[in-house]
Amino acid sequence: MKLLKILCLFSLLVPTAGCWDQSFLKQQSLAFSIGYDAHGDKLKSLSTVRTLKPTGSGQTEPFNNSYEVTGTTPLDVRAALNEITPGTYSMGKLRVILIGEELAKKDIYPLFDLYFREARSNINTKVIITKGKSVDFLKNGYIQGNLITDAINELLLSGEKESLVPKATVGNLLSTIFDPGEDITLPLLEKVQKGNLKVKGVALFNKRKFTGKSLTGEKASLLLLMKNKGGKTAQFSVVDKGAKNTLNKKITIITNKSKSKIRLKWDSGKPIYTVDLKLNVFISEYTKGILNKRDVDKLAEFLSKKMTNMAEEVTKTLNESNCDALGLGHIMQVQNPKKFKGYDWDKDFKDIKIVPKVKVHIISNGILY
Amino acid sequence: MITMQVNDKPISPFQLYCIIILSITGIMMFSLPYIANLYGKNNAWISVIILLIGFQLIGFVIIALHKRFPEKDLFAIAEIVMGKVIGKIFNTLLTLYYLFIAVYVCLYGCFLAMEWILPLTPKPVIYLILLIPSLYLAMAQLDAFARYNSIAIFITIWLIFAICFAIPDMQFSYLLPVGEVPLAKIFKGAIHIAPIYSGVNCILIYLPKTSGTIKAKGKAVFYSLLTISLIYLFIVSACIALLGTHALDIVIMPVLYLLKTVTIFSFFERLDILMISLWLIPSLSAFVIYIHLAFTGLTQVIQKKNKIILFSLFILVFLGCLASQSNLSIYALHKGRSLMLPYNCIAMFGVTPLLLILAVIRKKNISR
Repeated sequence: MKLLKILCLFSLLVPTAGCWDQSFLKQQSLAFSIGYDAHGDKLKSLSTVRTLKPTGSGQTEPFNNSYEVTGTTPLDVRAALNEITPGTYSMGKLRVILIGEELAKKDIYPLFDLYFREARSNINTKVIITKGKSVDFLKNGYIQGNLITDAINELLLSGEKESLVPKATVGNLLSTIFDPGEDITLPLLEKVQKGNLKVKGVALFNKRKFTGKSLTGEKASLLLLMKNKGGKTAQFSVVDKGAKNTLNKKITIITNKSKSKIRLKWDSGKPIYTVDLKLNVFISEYTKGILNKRDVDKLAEFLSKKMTNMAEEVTKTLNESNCDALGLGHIMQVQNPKKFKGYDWDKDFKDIKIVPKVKVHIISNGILY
Repeated sequence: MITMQVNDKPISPFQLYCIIILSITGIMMFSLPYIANLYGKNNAWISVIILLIGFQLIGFVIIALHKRFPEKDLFAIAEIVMGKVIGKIFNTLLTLYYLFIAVYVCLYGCFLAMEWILPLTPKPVIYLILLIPSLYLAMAQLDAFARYNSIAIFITIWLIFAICFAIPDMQFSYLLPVGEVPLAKIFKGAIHIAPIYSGVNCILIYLPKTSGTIKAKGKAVFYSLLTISLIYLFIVSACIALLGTHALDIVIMPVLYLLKTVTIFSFFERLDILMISLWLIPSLSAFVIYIHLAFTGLTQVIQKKNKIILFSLFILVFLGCLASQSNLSIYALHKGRSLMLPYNCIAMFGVTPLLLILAVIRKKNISR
């Protein structure tokens, strides 16, 4: 029995070693960002790999290396990157995936299959559509001295917080891609002067394809609020054309709280969606002077009207681009699945009537009366 | 079984509560929403509610049996109510069933480990990682095993806590409309996910070793089955709400996928890898419980009880895994699950009600 115990104890040594699956960080090339572009029938890809550069006296600083390859599929691209990067090319820490608009217009699902399928892949990676080729965004490796991945990541985080772009990661794309009653929206990034990047707005998709249309600035924010997917705040400037002085023409509000409710009604067998958006706002810019109680009520009414007009423009763009970003098909599917089956939602969405209504409630004038 | 000696310290009703929960939270829980969604689609959560009710009834049957035979375990009761010969045949079949389940759980654990964390480690080594600590646990005193379970239950709580972080990304309208899926399909879904409760009969192994009144034991059984069913309801609902029924059709391990999407406090991510490593702890409990069941059945049949028998059961499971590992894939595992489904249903829904009916008809009762 003693021998049996000793044998049992020794057999423990076999699993404790864990040497088959050890993977040293120092032997890996950790990719932090990757861009995909259409290159004829192939994919052109550029990935930034972060390494540590010695700066003397035992100190190191992160340093970006860019590698450009072509391949037929994302896995092919990864294999090609593995051949040229020192150590094993690893996507385990990937922070951002950039997709060029031309490639996004074809079909984005094949780009993500690898990330969905592999247990080891990181699906919290952010996904962005770029105006122009994605490779051009990444090739310098830095923006104003900041590492490109960090810069893009920070840009997106602040954009999400200020309701300029949707929170889009590989992981949360899966449900929308397969949902027949909703379409994807992704952040749209563009390059501006001096190599700086700008969060342009929301890229609109019809199923897996980028429609080429987008909502920018305030309209993008309004769409996100209508979806109940806004960030902490959103800023809107409304132009008062009746103002005498040019300086007095703009009224700026910042949302504090918002709630959107979408209802489906049927009129002579046709669906009509009403989107009721309630906004609690602060007045952050009002140059006309004092705001008393009566003025505030009037202003709220005026802002509600203006914001409703803007919301109508948003829904018009959605119809035109055939992008059901609000998940209206899903609402019909829940309320009346049989009627939903009678629609070819990807094609019929452009004819769906959407009636938005925004109600603004001013909760503060700032610290001025 | 070594843990089931007469001089074993009895376990408390709370420890029984923990043991029952862990006997049912096995490694197969990770694919539970996928299996439920295959049949019940967006109403798959109703399948779990059906099981909740079904297993509460089984709980009542188990307590009724225990009330009639307070000192006897499942296999001893079978011999009393069925007679010696039929009882022994019945116990042998049940023992073989639990051995098969133990092999299946071991293979499933190996598949998960290979897919997620140990792709290059040889399969026999992965089996040993599961089997060696299980052997140690199975050989321990029952109260030591119960204490282990009381600690291991925190992993289940941690899992629920981690899933809660995905709630902001969930869309609960994916669970609607109620009644769109035919009831027959929802029931079929319930039947297909029922094998996750395979360990339910272990209650009759541990009840005689539990201290306290019948009321306290009944409460432990009732609340443990309720707790685990509610945990499953939460997990299935959370996965459908996060992924939607269409995406769930292709994600075979939705619970791990859900954990993959979670980031806690902006820096703590890849909870799937953490969870699959931690889940070895509750999985060991579930595995040991199957071994306990097989061992108790075998000792009842051969009327012998020693460490060698327990050890040989582990060797059998190891050999069983080696024999059936050649095509270890999700397809093979799902096929195995489908093949075992009728036996699972008989073992879970047939055994205890049959024993109770026979006990009532044959007026067998040793409590008075």
